[in-house]
Amino acid sequence: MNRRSFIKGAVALSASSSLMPWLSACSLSAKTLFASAFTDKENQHYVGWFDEQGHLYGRVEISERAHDLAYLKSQNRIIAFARRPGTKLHIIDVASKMVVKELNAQPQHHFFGHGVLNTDESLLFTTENYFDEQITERDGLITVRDTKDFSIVQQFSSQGVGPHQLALLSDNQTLVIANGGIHTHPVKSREKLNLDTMQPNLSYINTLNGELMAKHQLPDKHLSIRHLCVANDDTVYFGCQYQGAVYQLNPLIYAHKIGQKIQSMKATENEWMRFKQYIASLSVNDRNELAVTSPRGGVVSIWDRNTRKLKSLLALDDTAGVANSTGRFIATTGRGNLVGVDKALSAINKYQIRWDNHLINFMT
Amino acid sequence: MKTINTLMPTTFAVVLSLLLSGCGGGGPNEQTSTTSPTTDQGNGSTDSSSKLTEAQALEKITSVLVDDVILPSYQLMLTQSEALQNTTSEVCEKSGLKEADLISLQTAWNEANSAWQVARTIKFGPISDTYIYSQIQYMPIEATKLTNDVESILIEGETFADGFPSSKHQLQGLPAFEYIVFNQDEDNAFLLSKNQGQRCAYLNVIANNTVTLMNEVVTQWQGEHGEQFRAGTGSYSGHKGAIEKYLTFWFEYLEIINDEKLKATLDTSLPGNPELLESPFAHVSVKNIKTNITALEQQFNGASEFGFDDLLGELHDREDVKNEISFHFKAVHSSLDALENVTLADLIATETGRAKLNAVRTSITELRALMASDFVQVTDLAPGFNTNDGD
Repeated sequence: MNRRSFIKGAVALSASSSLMPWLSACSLSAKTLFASAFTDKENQHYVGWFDEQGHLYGRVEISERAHDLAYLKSQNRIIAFARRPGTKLHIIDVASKMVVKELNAQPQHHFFGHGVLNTDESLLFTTENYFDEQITERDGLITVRDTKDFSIVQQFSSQGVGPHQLALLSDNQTLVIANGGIHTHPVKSREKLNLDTMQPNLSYINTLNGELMAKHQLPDKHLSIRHLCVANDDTVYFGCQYQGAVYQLNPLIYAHKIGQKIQSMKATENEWMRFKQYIASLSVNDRNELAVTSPRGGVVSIWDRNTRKLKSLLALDDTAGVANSTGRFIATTGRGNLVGVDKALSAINKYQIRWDNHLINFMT
Repeated sequence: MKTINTLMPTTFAVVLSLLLSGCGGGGPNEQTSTTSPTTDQGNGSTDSSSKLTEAQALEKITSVLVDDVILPSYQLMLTQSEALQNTTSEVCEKSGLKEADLISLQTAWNEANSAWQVARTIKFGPISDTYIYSQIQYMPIEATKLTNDVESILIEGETFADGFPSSKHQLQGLPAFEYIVFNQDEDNAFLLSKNQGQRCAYLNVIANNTVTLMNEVVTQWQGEHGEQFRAGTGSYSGHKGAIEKYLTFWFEYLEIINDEKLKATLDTSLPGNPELLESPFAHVSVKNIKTNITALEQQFNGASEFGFDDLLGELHDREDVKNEISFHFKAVHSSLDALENVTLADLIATETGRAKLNAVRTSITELRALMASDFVQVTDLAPGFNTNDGD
């Protein structure tokens, strides 16, 4: 079986035999633990998971700072994706609270902090960067791994520079990728090397063959498309980090359905200003709401998906992670807070740690 | 509207009469009970004895930051902006401007710029909410782009009667003023220019704008915003949250010095990138950095009041960390002194100068690393973890 047919077969199997309700990158799961990477005061890095009341169920130290996570239900394991330009994938067993596997990226590759599983969890897709000594700017990569042993079964272009978050649509075949457009290289630390020429885009790719299905750009090329989530109706919500002059106000959050035009979410200039040109995480619930965080703005926002209007904008310092919970969202902060987000904020718990950028929910 | 006190302190406030003796603050537990994200845990009361609890110490620091650090810094900038406004108005009312008039403008700009180099290190709250800091000083920007942008609005018929003809921030603040009064270009040098009256009108608009903006900042800090910071309410999650917000930008400014002011101008090799000098026309880029570091150190020390140094020594009984930080500040000052009076433009253009600049960068990196490790671990006060993440 070649790599392409492997993917095709796996996709077909999962599409036909999926018994569990399909869960989007950001939709509600029925029950309900939450997980996030975090860093402690001694600058040691961990992955921790907790319940809706904020009680910590487990934590595992990892060797490199992680960014986002994915939950592998069939194995009861959490996959932690290294923060750019990290090279580690940590596979954590939730029951034993141990790292059961630590994978390195291929030589001259690094991760961008995000990954997504297909529906039957047979395949893992990650955004990655291949770099050379000449610091050549090139499109990023989507690497596909078999989750049995995490061997690489396929690799294809992300169709843009600096791919970041990605998600699968409900067909379990179409991958949507936020290509941030920013060229970076490990020897240049996290320096942005192409701000004058950056070309971010939102790309849809057929995972069966790696072919581009659609590519969309925003009018202002300094809007780096970084994070996204997908609702159950396949509306993709994506958030941007503006790399131009701070006073050039643009909408930072957009909605898109494949085959249609991109539509911005609706807020006033003063409201957009409060996001400080920076969006971190997005999440939707089953009440047609979208939650979006901005650590630079110190705000968490709730949007009406039907009208695309801002419903509430709440001050929460250093917030980043957000995930759907029962009847509300839960947000995390770099101050260690776990906070319920509805019409107002409600404290859940606080730890003397720094929760990292993203929060996931999962059923054990 | 509050009346702005224009009698600005030339130094920070007098020494606190009651020195604080050490007390056991107790390390924080890994997990605390449920806390509100917008309210403070401390009772805020002050013991009649000289000992402070940790909560009282944090409350004290927020007050010191408002009264002795933030407001004096902003007020000084307002005062110098008003002086710039007055000088510009007086000079531009004259006809037949002479060298002495130009020097008056340059001196007023230098003083306003020095005050700004202190104020700009405090980039949160009103000065940040509507990007006022960017209007007063848009950076980084290439000198050629700034030149072209400024000259492009000095077109025939533009009187600036309606303010700025462009929303670009680089045209509204100190860098544009600097270009007008310091550039030596034959056609566009201030005293030689054919459109001197128009340039004067432009300078007046910039100076007026700076006063208006700083007035807004000072008014808000003197009023509700200052009270919220002091109490740890509003957008601040308690006294600790308020202090950590402040520290986020204290740390950020060290990175701005290292990355934007030094690394970007050094570039990867000779001849460097003089286009990205902070003050390419007035040639005070090194002085700016010295002012920044002095300001950050004074802020760390709470001016002469109860500061982070006292928090380490008096509350946490960690004179060793306090002394180590002081030692690292001295190392930064020494590395800056080694630059002598050479301009940044000249320093980046020679191997010797570049080595000295890299020594400055190293000393700042080491100071920042010490703060990010020992200071954070001892005090449990940390800059925003996600705020400056960049992913």
